[in-house]
Amino acid sequence: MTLNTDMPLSLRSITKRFGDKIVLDGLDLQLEEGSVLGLLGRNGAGKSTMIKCALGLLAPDDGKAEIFGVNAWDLDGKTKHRIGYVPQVLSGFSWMRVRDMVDYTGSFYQSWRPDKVAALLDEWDLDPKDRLGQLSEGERQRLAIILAMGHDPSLLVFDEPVAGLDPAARRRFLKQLLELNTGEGKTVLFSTHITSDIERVAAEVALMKDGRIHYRGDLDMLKERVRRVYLTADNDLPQPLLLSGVLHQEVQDNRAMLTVDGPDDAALQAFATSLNARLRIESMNLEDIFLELNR
Amino acid sequence: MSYRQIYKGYLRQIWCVRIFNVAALLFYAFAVAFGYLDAIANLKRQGMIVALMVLNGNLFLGFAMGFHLRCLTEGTMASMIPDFRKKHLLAMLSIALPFVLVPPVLITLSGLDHGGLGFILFPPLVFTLWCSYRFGFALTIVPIMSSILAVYSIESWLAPFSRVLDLWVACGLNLIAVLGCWLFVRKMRHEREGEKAIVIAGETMAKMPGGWRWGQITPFARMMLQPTLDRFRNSHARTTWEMADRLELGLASPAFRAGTLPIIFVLINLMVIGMHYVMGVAQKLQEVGQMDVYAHIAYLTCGISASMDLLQNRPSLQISWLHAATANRAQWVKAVHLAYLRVMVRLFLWTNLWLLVIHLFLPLFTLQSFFTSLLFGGVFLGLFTAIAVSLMGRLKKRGGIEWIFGLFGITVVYIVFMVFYVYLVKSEQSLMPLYQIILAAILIIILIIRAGMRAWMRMDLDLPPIDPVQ
Repeated sequence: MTLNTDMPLSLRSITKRFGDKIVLDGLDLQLEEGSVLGLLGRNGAGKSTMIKCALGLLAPDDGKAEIFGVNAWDLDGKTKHRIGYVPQVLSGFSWMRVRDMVDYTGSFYQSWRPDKVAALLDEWDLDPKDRLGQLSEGERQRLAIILAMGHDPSLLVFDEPVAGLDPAARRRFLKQLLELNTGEGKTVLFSTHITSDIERVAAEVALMKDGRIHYRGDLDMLKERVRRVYLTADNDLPQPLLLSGVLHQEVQDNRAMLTVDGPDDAALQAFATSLNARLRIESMNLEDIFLELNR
Repeated sequence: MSYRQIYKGYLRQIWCVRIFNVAALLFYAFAVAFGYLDAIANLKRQGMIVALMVLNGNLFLGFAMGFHLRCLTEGTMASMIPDFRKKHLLAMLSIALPFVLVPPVLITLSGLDHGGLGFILFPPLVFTLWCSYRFGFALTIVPIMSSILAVYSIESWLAPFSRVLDLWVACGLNLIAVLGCWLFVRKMRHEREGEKAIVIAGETMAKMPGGWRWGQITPFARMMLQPTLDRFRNSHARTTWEMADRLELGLASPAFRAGTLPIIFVLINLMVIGMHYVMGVAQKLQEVGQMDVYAHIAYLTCGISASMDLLQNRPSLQISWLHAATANRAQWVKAVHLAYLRVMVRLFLWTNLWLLVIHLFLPLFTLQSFFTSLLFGGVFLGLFTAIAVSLMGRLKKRGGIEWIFGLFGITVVYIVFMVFYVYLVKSEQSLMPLYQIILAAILIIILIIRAGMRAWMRMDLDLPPIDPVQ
């Protein structure tokens, strides 16, 4: 038996320009087998472009994109069998019924699991008799997700999969995602704006900014690194406060609020002591961290 | 992968493709049957019937192939689903090859002069459907002209020769068409390239007479561009720079080159026609007197294109409704009627305009051919309009108005052309000067109505400008 050591997804020094605008700037990203990576970034940060380059839907201007060791631009049928992709908009035929679309898509895959798909359709309240053109945005999105998972892919890529879903559908999707990862060991990459979803399912997060991965790492580690610090001194505090790793600071008279990335408790305590100030450290949720890092 | 597997796998789901295939097969069978009848009874006029039968077969085949062509140029789906293009290409070839090769042989061997005629039209017909589907109605002028000119030139070219050559040219052209489709598909490999082709089409339309530009386009132009704009929205072109990038298109893009195929058809045909004019063959052609068939074909393709365009423009109607829905109900009802009316008027005007242009520029058409083509074409047009409009109505679950419009279309068109045909053509056979005057007058009237409609639409349906970035 041969061991497949190829990484599910590997991007090396990917650069993509649209005209003069550099969207991806030497981006590197590797996904280990069985990992779940949540991709966060503002509009225009390059998330979708990165995903498209990774899947061979767009040709990068520079760099190398590989899926399971195969050049993404020249994916063969065998490799495509191992990928499930949910685009932001499901392309399909509006006159087709859900059932037809499922059968149609399924016919391209040898590993299609009709029982699983039927169960998901039922669980996600999709009527197989409905036509695609009659589905709401959320329903189309649900169908796209089901179609992407129906052939049991090893790598699942979701481009903002929950944008059109209501809270209940989002929960179901995230639950499904967790089951996929914990039960079946799938590799998952999903981009979203909704930070709470990433907190719910992804152990690892990547923040995209200016066409690069600004931060990539463990979610808990990120929360330990990026924190909010409150200082209260007896006298007025100097402006600005000079501390390495400060992302943002607001100083008013003898009080200051800082968002810091990096310094540990001891370093912060030493800094407060040097200012004769009292120190209070607060953890931040991912949304606040995301906002601070994107300032 | 076997043919059977393809059908058993995914094609069985696509019921319409199967129906189209069966319909095409039936029409071809009729054509062959008529051909044999003609050979036995020596009924010369049945040549035209055969040609029309074959044409109808081609039409349905075109629909079936059009579906596969559409699938083949799907962006994301085709790029991500394994063997997506291979399967569709195989299916398309498996449909096309037996049909485009076998019936011409049978019909031509049955002894008909018109045997290859319908098949010669196959390639341009497919491109007509394709252009209509992909780019909208306006650009179908290219393949429509190509259709007319292809038959016109090839028939004339082959006139001195035997029908064996006719057969081989038909087969050859069909093969070229299939190969062309294949090349097209190969070039349109990725999503972005597909989008480029759409953008080129959109831009071309936007730059058409009237100085239409993004941001200051009239409702009329907007209606034409709506499918393109929708595709922009659907293709995530959400930011200005992304949009701008997509408009920054080089002529060297593969999709554009693929799109030039129909233009090449026209150019080749123009060359052939020019040569024949020089050689004085045109005079001989006039004696053949088969031009009415071509006129029917022109109208038929116009009708199909128009109905497809109508379906394609459904989003624009919905947008009208959406805007109107924000106002009061009276305005909403008015907007719905206006939206239907303007689509129908546009459809009618464009179709007639093109036909008139064709007639004006091809002096070999006779007055009779013109009116008979209007008669046949009008019926086709009305029929397709009714189908398209009623389909729209069914999709929107608003049956009443649409059916009335559809039936109204058929009735009016049919009666008007019947009157023209009976009272003008039957009573007067040689009215060439009058014919030219009538054509010119109709052309001017159409242009005036069109300008009036545009002004009226702008006035009455005051839609906010489209934000292409939205």
